[in-house]
Amino acid sequence: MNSTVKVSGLTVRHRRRTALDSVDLDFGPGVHGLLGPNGAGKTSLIRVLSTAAAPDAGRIELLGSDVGAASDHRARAEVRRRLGYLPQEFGHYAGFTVREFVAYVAWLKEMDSTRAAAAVERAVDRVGLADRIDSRMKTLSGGMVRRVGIAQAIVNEPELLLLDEPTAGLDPEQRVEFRALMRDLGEHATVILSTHLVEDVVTACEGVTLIEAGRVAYRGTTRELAALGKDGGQDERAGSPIERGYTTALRSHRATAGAR
Amino acid sequence: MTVTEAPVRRKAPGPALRTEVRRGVGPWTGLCTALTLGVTMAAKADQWQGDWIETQSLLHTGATLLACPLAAAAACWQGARDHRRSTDELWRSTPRARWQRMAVAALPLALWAVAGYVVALAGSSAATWPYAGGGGPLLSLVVVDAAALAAMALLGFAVGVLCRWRLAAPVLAVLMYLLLGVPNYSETSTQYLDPAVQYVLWDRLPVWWFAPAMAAWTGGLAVAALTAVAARRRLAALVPLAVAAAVAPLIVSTGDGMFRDDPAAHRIACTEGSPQICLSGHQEHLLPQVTEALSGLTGRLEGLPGAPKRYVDRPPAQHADEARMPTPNVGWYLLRGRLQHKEDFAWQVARQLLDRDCPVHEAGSRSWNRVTGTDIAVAGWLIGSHTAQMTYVPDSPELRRLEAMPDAGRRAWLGRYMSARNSCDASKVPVL
Repeated sequence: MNSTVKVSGLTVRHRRRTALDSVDLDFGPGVHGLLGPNGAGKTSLIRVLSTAAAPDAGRIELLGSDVGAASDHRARAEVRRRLGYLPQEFGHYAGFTVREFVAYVAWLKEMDSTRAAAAVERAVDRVGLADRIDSRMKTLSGGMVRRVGIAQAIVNEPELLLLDEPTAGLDPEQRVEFRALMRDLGEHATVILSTHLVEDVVTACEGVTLIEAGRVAYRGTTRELAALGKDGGQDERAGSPIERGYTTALRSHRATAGAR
Repeated sequence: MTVTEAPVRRKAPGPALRTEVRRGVGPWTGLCTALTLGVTMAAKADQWQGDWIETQSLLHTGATLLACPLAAAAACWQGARDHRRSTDELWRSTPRARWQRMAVAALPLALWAVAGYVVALAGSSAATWPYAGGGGPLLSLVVVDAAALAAMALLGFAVGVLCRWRLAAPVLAVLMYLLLGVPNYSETSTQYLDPAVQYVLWDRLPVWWFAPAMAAWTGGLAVAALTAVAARRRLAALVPLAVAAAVAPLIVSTGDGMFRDDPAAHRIACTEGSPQICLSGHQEHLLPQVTEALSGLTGRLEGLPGAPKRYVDRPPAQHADEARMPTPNVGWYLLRGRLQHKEDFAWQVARQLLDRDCPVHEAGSRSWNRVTGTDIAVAGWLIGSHTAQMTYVPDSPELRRLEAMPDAGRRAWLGRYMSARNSCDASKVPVL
């Protein structure tokens, strides 16, 4: 696989708690789902990959450049221009209009000013907010704000797109449109989507990585995970095949980890 | 992996700066600054309207003691915006340098605060101009005030970045008010480091380097603070700090010497003819009104031996033929360019005219009481108006006797009296 994201020995600690424990991972172009229970370390991984947080140990290579060390300032800046990020808690300036906010992020991403205005309109259009582009952010619903979050993440046509719980607050129709958008983006970019909604992973992602207690519990395709659910011997009423696969993989990892 | 062309780096902050200028607390800061200064100026219009020095002095006080804390508080609120809005994490994932983002967020506050000041300055100037008889505000003081406002905004922003406490903004405003206001009570030349110090500009002008030095001092400190919190290389803050540190000793050591004599204020402009009425060059346009206000007094003294040939609004240089008159100040004698309290003005001139400035030991003696009674009666008669006489000389038999004299006899008596108007020898003052 032609990897755009490579991490090795990645360790992240929050005070005394270890959020990621010497994780090795790599991702190539396409849409990848990050699944895992609450507190598993998904958000910590996404934050480190977005360069918003520094790791405590390990090596991070994004888009061919090492960015993990404090001294990698120039490489980090170069990668950030080619990166899109939607944090779990998407902060925004309520007084800005949608256009102003996305344009502001485009400026922060050091986009070419001659192309920024058109890129802003395209990004807002792609998330279905073209008719609200000149509305103030404070007048938008929670789902709309989330879509602005996606628009700001994709405004620079990123080669690496990191989305943390992107569908939180979206209604079913918007979620369907979002998944289509992810598939579209995944044709050219590496999209890593952290979620606890397995439906998003099934419909939007090709690969899936299951994180549990700061470690990688499972890696495979969504089909493989769904197959694990079919073969796991669980009651079909316990959920969809992929949900059963998720549970099976998680329990298997816990059993292995417990045995060690 | 898809290889795409690396985006061209965009250096110009145009759209982002425009957005920051239009949104958030910036416009409100400008509006509040203009309103605060406007209301303050309007409430005290009688004390400044028509006089450039008074106009700018009060505006300077308002700008530094009221608007500066206001701008600092607003900028502090703006500086803490990323804490409140939880945008820090997203911004950390972008390549734009932190100092650029902060500069774009902080500058609009400084610009709006200065804009509010400029609006208030324009309004005050428009209100003063029709009555001031020419002239204009001092550009150097405008620069100093604007620089102070911008500096306080940048300082406030830096505090907001550092302090996440929600009450930081109002507390900073109070602290800033004290920090700027208290040095006014100091007698040392270090008070000149305070941009809110009240300058005495009635007859003085700032030296040419006053504005650049003060702007370098306040701006240097503010830029140093902002650089320290915003730049990746925090040591860069030492550069503006060094600029501030370099000019501070110059300001302190020069102190009051930053102001030189104003040639226009020291120039005396006089009416033609006799007697002459003289005012400083700043108030030359008031000569007709002052002449008219004193016409009764000068008319009654016309042709008398010993009567002054010149009335000047500063201490006479010991010339027997000069008399001092009060300066027609805004706030009492001047209201929107019109001389008011004319009877009091004439009364003050008459009292100064007959001021004997004699040794204290003479006071209280019977002969001296006679002289004092005579002086008051003559002063009362000189101001002419019966209403005014009832105010200033309500019950004076000497005045009644003076009024009862035939004109020729009174002129003869006044001639003898005026010859001894400044004498401390009671025997030389004719009996009334």
